[in-house]
Amino acid sequence: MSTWGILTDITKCIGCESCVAACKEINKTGKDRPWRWQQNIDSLSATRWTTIIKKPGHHFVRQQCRHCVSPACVSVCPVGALQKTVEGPVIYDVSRCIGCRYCMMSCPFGIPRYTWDTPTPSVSKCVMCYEKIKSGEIQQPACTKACPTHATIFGDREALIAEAHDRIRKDPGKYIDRVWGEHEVGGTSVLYVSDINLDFLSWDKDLPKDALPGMVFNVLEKVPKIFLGMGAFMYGFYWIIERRERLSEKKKGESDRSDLSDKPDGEKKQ
Amino acid sequence: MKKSLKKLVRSLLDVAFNSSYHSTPRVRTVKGILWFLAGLGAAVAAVRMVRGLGATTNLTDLTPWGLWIGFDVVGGVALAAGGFVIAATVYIFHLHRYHPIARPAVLTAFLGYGAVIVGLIFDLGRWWDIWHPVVYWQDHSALFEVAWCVMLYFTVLALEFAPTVFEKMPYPKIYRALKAITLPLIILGIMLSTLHQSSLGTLFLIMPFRIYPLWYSSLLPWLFFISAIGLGLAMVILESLVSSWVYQKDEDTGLLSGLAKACAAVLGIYMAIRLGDLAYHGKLIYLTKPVWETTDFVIEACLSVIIPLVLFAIPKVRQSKAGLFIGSASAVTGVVLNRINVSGIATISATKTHYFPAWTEFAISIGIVAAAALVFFFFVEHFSVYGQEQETNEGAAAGDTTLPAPEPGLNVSVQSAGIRATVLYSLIFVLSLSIGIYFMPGRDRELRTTPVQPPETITAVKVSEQGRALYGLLPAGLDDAGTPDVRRTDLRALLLVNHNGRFVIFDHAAHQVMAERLYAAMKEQRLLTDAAGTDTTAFSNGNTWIEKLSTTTLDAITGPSNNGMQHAGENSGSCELCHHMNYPFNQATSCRTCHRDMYLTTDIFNHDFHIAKLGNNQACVKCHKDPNAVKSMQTAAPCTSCHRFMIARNSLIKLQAHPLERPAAGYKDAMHGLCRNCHERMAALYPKRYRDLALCATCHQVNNPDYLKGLPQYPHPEKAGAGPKNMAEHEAGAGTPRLAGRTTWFRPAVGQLPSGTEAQVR
Repeated sequence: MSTWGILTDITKCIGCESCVAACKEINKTGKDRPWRWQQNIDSLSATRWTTIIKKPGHHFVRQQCRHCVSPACVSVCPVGALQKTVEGPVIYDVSRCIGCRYCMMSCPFGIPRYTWDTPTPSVSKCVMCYEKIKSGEIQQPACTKACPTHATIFGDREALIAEAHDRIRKDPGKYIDRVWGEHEVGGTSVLYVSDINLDFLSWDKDLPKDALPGMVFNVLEKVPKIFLGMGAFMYGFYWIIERRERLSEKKKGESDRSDLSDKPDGEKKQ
Repeated sequence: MKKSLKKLVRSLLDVAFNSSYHSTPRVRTVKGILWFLAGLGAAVAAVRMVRGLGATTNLTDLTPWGLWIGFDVVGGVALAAGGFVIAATVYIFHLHRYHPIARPAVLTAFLGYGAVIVGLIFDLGRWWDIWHPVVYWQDHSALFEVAWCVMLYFTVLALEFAPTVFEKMPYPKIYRALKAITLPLIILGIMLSTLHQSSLGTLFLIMPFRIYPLWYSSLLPWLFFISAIGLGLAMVILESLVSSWVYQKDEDTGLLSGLAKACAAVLGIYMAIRLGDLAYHGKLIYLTKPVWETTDFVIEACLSVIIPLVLFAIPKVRQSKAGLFIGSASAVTGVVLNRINVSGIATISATKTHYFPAWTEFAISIGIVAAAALVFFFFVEHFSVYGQEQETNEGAAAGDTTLPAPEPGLNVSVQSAGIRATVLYSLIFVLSLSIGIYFMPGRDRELRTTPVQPPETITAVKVSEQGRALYGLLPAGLDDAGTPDVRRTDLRALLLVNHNGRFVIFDHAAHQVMAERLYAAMKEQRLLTDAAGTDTTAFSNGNTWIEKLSTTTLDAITGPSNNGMQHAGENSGSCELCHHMNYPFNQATSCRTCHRDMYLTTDIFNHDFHIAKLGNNQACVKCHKDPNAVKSMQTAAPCTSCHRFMIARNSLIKLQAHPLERPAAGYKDAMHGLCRNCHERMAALYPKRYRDLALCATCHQVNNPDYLKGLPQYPHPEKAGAGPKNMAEHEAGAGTPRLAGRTTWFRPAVGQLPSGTEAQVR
């Protein structure tokens, strides 16, 4: 399996929240409690890494970390607490985290959550059961395994994209002809096919196809140039003005003979 | 060695007790206020460290950055830009007349960055790991770059400012060495400042979806850098004016007006680029939108650029202290507001939530500024920050300062005055510390539940008694230490109705008996098709099967039930009557599926029974007391005249006007009577807090909540005729459209609670 992925079929979801329960059990997140910093108790939280959003007309949309192919959260983390694994999942290392919450600000889907109630807080989000699958403890994430209707399935991302297009082709009247997660912000490992528009899962209605980190790299790659350029520029300015001042001093000195040195001259060591 | 130590101690004492400024009432007042604010901040800081961010901020998962990042960090770095701007002016561009303000500017920058780091420690969730960027390198993160730049520049600023300290210390070699590296330090400082002032803008480039279009721009790094230069100049002006006011000395407004001119030019360029960028991307249209962001933008633009630009453009105003003060204060406020907007306020609307800083957040931000100001005053008073720089420091240790050394006699009084002031400030600090701790939000702040608690939740505790399983029912909130046998009851079943975390006590055994009879009757009437008795189609359509049962069958089975388990094997299919009728959300079959009449007005009054009981023909007058009146329900004596204890004691239902004179209300009316009065009263009393309490949708959550939310408030006294006047009219379909078909099922009002949140069986 090259890269892991999860495909969720909104038309198959019955909203039973078995995935939520399975996730809570395997990750030992504990009970949901009503906190001030949470709009609804059944929305994503530090204790609820995946949830079901109920939409009118018996539509149930599972919300979870999208595990972007080029994740914004990983690119912004100043200490590498969030890492993109070669398999696909974006994982979190609390021992590195400094708690700046930049990942939460940068996520285009608004996924990462925080344990606000403790003095030793951490970020929490779905990690696609990465450690447990790697260690061979389980074969697939707890959520996909728990799903009674196979509305959410685990597999190879490329194969899942093919499967998604296959489903749409076989039943074009049922689905909207779009695989959410195939192209948005450079693609995500978690994909959706649906009969309702799922754009509400992100802050912005239409996400760009380009990966977000590129917007910053364009600027950051100029940093060394600007740094050295500014240094050279400033020294150049200093040298020119200094020289001009010294020459005029000299001229003045030649005529006056008596010369009180100006302060910067005294400070400068050459 | 010993000698040099003695020398150091002497010079330190010298610095500590020889203030270059006399303590005037004005200085004392200003310092007292600052100490008070610092104390308040310290109190909040202590609580923040112990209890965490949730207890001391209004931040949420959707608005994770707030005032502390906006003001303390992003704003603080920009406020401290004066250091590199003035250093460049004086040392690179050789504008020597600004030399006197170079030291205060560097000191302000140094303290500003110190404040940024302290502020960051409070804001970082895992602040003890603040050093991690040093070891874990992430060159693709803008924040990593900012962290390194701030770290390095803080060091550079410390070295830039160090000569001021060392000229009073007995280490001439260090002083000379520091002086020697001034130029490289200045250039390095400018290089680092350029990077991180702009990189703070780069931080926000990755959030094009969060930040409101009026603030988001691909030029954010440029805008941040340019506005930081303007802000740095404004801050130097402001700080010079304030400290000369505090110490009542004359200010060279000529010098400051030069800075003001430059400041206005830079801010003008900044706004031109910003508006040009908005125009280029076609975003100027957003300025016409009637949303609060537009107002915010206009206020920010006025404060940060327009007011300073207008004031500083007039030479006469520029020369006056008042003009300089208003202009620079406005610029400082405006640009800092810009930073707060970009890093917090302008991202709120995208998240569709609210955020306004808690007072505790303000307290820490203001407290840090106050503490930095106190340190600033300390340096001003004890070192020659505003004085002329000394070329040599040979005699410094001996107290040969530029300012006249206090006379020996005066020295004592100065010292005692200093001690008195220290005592005063300590008192103020402790006072504000205790005030802060006293007003700290209590622990319940962390646990404030979302909308409402269900009126009566219970916790069931299993207790065994003589081999029989019994359940003790605890009122919710009573902890494990509470007595479990309060309200002990023989549990028939605790039923988790609709899996919503709310239990009802349900006599399962009695229902089972009834269900078995019902099932047998159905089999008899061949309502169930196949031999196994599992025609699921009969059930899948809600309660069609019960409609098929003849009335006589229903009458036959509702005889006296014999309690106990009579689970006959042949009738085991009866379980399906209530279970295996899964609705979405895995709801159990609702009570209402069988007890459909619970919403109708009941007629529990059995007239025939009463006649027989009271003596046939002679019984009429016992209830219909007035022989001349028409014998009707309305003229009869109230039930309670005979049955005095019809309502259980301590019932939640409080009878008001007419105590049970008429036939009992139906389930719907009873429930409405029980809940609705209070809901309406509370909604009328506290229209803000309980805004939605009187809406139908508060309790009735149908699968289309928008439908019920659209319903008018019941009973709608003001707008007569606009909607249904009462429930009867509403039921009849007046005013609002009714739901078509049987698409509603009622879910109790505690839908916000997840499975097993409040009530739990252990």
